Amino acid sequence: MAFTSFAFLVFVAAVVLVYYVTPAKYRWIVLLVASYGYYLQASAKSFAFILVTTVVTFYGAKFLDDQNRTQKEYLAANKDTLSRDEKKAYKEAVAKKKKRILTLVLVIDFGILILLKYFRYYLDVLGVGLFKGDVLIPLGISFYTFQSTGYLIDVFRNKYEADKHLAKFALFVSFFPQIIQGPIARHDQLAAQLYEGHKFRYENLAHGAQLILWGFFKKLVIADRIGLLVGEVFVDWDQYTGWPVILGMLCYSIQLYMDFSGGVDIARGVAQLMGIDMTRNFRRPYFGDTLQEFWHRWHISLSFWTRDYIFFTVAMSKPIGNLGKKARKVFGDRVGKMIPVFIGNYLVFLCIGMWQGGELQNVCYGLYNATIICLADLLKPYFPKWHKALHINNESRAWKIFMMIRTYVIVSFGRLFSNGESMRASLHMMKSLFIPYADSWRTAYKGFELTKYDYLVLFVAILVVFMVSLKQEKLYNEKQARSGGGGGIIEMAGDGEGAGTDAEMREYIDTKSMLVRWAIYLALFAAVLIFGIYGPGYDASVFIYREF
Amino acid sequence: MRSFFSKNITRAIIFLCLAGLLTAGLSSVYGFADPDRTNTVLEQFYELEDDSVDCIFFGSSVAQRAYVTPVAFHEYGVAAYTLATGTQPLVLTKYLMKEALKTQKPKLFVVELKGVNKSADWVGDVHIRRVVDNMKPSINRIQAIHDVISYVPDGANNVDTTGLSYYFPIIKYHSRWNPAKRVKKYEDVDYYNGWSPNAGLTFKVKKIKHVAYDDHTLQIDPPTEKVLVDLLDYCDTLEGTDVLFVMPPYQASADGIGKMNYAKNIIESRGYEVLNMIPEEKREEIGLNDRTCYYNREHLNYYGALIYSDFFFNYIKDKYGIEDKRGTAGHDVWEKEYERLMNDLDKKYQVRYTDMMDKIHGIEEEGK
Repeated sequence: MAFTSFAFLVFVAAVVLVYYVTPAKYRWIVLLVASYGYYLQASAKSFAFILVTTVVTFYGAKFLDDQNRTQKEYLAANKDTLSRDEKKAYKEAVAKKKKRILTLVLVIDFGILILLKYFRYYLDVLGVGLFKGDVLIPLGISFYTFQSTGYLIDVFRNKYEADKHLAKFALFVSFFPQIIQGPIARHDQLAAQLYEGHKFRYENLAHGAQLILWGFFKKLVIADRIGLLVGEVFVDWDQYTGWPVILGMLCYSIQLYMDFSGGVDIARGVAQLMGIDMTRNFRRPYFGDTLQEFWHRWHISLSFWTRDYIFFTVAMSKPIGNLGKKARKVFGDRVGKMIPVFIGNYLVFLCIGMWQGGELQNVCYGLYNATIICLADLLKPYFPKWHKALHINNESRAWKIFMMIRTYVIVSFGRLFSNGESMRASLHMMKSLFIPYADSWRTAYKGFELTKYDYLVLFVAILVVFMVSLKQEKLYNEKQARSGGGGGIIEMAGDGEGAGTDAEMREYIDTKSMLVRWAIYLALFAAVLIFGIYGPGYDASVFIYREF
Repeated sequence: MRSFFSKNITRAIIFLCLAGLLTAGLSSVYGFADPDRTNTVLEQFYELEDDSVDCIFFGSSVAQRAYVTPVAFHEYGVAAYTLATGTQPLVLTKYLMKEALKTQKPKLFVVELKGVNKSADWVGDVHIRRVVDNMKPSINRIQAIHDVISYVPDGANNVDTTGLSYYFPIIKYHSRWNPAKRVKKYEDVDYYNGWSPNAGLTFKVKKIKHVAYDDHTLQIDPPTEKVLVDLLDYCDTLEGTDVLFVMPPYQASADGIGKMNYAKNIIESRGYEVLNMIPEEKREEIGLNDRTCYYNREHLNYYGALIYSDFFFNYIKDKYGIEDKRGTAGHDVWEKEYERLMNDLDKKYQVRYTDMMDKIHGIEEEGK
């Protein structure tokens, strides 16, 4: 039941109706039944895996929470009787116990993920047919595994208490709008909203429907249309050189953004229909003027996850800290300090790359991003000198636009790895970028399966998204200025709708007269209806991130 | 609180109605289109004056070519209309009858039996669309779609077995804003009370060879048999309208003949008449000649259709007591359609019509 299918819309309508007619106390049960129902129809054969992750994580977190509480109570009760050394020894013993359980649960959770998503792939590559029959990769396995383990680590870190109710926790893990492509939610941001029975509010219904419509526009009008061109270039990668490859490469970034963010908009819109605010996952990523900034704006929930649970864990660990100290002696203070950060970055991007699969090109994709970010850090002190020597005003608008375009190209180039059919295909395409196209433009044009009218629709639709994004960025910056926030990565973490962007856009539209608002919605609806890629003769492609 | 609630609900309902109207409006723009302009068949039918039709034909393109309805009115006074469409699935006949009865009280329904030769998995997307996409929105249309997609097995000939794109044709046709996706329609296709010269093909002459007729039977596809029985059950409920089944005079295969014979037995056992036009003696009685009356193995050419119509309309006039409607109120359109056809024969089809007649005269001379 794809998000863009009629069946899904009917399913959502039924769930929303049942949700609001059920007494508030029991509304979470409606969501759980709907989520499990959705999961079973989509991935019944792999249902057991999500159950195992849910149960193991729940009891693991419960154990950790018990330890946290026991430790707190014990230390409070024996505040005056225990010596400092005894307190330290007690804390270490508890920490050891907690680490053992944490490790065990992480091994089980990630073990399932690695076994089904990666290990099987590597065995297949090696020709070892360990898995016989139809063992599918469970739907949304990466999303629910990351979400569950994030919760577990937070409880381990005593950030919040463990969930008390297994069935409610099962809902947190499996909430149907987000199970396919996220965003990866934090327990303290989402769980309470799921368990609470929300009152019916017209605004929630209206705003949710608007977000769904916007998601449909991005997915059906832009992503699936531009996908016809991208698909041709990436599938027949050995047929093209020169400008068609450049075009395919640049267009893929548009396709991926429209597809992924469109899907997340639909998911968030569905949740909002029931008064649930899911964290946003994008903040106009292509407005980022460095690769680092891009990653602060792209797939934010994954970026934060890797930052909180990998980067900080690694960069602030004792062995890496010691390594940093040694590196300072060898490379000097500035570079030495950067070594732990570099190691953290490489691990983070390795994880982000492999999120998409275990193939070599995904590993390379991660390493490519990490290398560029580390190099940029390393060379940072030299940039002002170079700007001065080249008479560049790095505050000018033209320079900022140039930087955005440059970042877009860097991002798009890297995606030749992640979207390549194989490592060979990726490298071939990279080489092909620099070889002039031998055939006439008509030959390529015919192969792309798009008419001049399709290009016109794409141009107008992308322009609409661009203009809306500009407005969103403006509203966001105004809000940040009012609240005194810098809008950086730390400020954005886990803030839900607080620093939301589309929410402000919808609030902005709300200030317009009813005539203007309805004209906007009806125009968007008509655009999806007429220009969307759907129905017989077209196969609305599955969401690209669905497989992750 | 209550006023807030009712205000917002009212607003939401109005908005949804507007979205519905927009969808309906767009659906009418992006509607069915095939090269044969089949949409015209139902469009023209809906425009007819109420209770003005005496006889309605159902079936495939064979029926669509065979009954020259404008001439039928001018020559015999029978107000007839052809609701036949290319490869019309038998399962839809009942619903077309119901659709017709909404505005008409015909004396006679004529059902072509060629449809019983086809199994359920033979039905294709376009065969269904020619009918249901052109029906006006109604419960009858919904039931027709439901029945036809229940009849067709999954995955058959691009049929959307979810039915969604039949219920909401815009799902299928929305891409027609793009000129590359538009259907190129045949220029010369036109309809005269449902009869069509089919882009001038009907003015060609081709010699065909009929398979010798015998009365052997061959079981028809069980789902199709069920559909036939269901149709007969429905016919039993009709009041004031007789139903005549016809085995048309086309070049049927031996299997086709066997299946039609099988269906004929079922139909006759239920007390309905089946006119069998396939045996050689019958064709001779009508005056149909294999060398001059066909433009391909299935279809009568204009010359053959006139001969066949002469026989058929005289037959039903006598047998079913259909009154002469020439000069009566509400039938101007029938005479106008005849005049339009004659005018087109003089101008639009003049060369092709003359060529056909020259060829036929040549063949007849040779025969002498």
